[in-house]
Amino acid sequence: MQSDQKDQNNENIDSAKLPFVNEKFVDLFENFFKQLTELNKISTVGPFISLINDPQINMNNMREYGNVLINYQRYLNKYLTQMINSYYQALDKVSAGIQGKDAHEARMLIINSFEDVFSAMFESKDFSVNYNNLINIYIDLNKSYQKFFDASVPFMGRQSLSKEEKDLLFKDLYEIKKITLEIKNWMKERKNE
Amino acid sequence: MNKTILDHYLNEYVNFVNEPDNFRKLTEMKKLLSNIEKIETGQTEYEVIKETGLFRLLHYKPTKERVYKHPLLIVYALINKSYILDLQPNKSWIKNILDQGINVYLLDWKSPGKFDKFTTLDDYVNLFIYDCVEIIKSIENIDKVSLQGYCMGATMSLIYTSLYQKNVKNLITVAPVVDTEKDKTVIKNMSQNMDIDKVLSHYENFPYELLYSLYASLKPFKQGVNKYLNLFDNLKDESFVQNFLRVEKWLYDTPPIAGETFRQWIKDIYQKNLFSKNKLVVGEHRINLANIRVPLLNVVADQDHLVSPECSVSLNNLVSSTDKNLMRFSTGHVGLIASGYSQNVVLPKLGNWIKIH
Repeated sequence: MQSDQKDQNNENIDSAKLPFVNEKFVDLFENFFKQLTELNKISTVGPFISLINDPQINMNNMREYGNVLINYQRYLNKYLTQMINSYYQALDKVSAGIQGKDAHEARMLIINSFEDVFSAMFESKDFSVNYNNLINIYIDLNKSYQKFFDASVPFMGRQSLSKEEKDLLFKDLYEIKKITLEIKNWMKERKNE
Repeated sequence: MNKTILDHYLNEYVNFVNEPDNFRKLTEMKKLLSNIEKIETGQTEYEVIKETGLFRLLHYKPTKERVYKHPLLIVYALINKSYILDLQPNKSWIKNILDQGINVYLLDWKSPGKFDKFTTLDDYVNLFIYDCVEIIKSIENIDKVSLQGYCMGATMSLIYTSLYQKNVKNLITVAPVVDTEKDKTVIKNMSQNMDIDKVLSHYENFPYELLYSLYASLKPFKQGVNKYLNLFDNLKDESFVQNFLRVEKWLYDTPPIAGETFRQWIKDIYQKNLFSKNKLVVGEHRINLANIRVPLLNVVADQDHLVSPECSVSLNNLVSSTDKNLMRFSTGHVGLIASGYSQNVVLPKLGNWIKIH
């Protein structure tokens, strides 16, 4: 079980570097990148182009973004498949018992059937693993999008602090607040003595 | 879709449409739910003793002559807001305890801002709870308080008691998270595979949207769908509607949780179960539940779907208290603290226990 967990975590961490699930996508993206490079070579003169990074760097980011996007689709499909399967299982349960029921009994049958099937799914390891993968890949998608944007037009991102810069600032603030509270408590204790 | 079910749905739909009053009721429901923010909660009078960026210490005005010497400090959880303990006068946990002649303080946690992301479980216990207990001791001129924690707050109260037992007269844990290996809830299942490091590499604190998505998986039809059908059926019952809206407001009032605190909560408590193994390290202290020797009352809900009863019940085998009690009630996690059952069955027993300890 621990080994499963480890494998799963590895998959989460390196999801951006996972191989393409379909070779057709590889060809599709490579052709697209080639054509984009050629197009970019044509227009290297003018004020706006000087503000944009080398298209070759952008392409690597774009390739990574493409990988993440495909894996996002993969986990999303799995999630939706689980939800749809449960929906049909619940409908089967309802249809097996609905005949002869009055409105109130039918309502309770529907609610109980859906509750049983969906709760069993939410309590399963398979759902938990896939749902967490979906959250992780969604985070990757956001990070990748941000990275692509930052690399493409670097001067645009300089208006605000980076995540790392914010973290340093927050850490300093946290330390200051903590030390202040500790000093206050210490002074209070001394006063009481 | 199966023809039998389709026929049933069509019949129901036709019946619904043919009843003109149903549209009025739907409009009324929509109006009630869209104005939910305005509904009043927390009507018991209190004084704010201390307020910082992350907590408020509240002292409630006595409603009866005091019959118990030691004040009771209630430590609420970091999940949702503490007004569930004072939802409305006839379903107020706090008012009920005050009416039993007990002096009540509440540790009311505030929502952490982005800059609070480094606040740890150590800070919550060794700075904030510690600070509040010292303030109460000083105000009341007393050397011990009676301590009560709910859910995550019960776990924090246990950590505090294991470290500062001399300050605790007795301890009441309500639905505590203790032995998570025995927890069978959806929350445990989802937490088990959560990559909390990854989530916190992107967000400062654990976002309320992710917390809310977890709650949405708990009894999604019996509570998630059926409650609105019940509201539709009971729109003429003013008391039912008001109670529904207050609970509904509380359910959606979910603050984020400080990043570092939630990292330890998920990794050490839910994924590694270190707390019940006496291996949890909080700040510079290793937490050993066997250090707890004060009288203990462990209150558990048998239909709890947020913290499995088995997860809480284990506590009584882990502490060294000779005077320890377990009270199990046939209700759920929220029903335990904010229901008519809680008022009539749970709280009288809890109050009596406090008074004789």
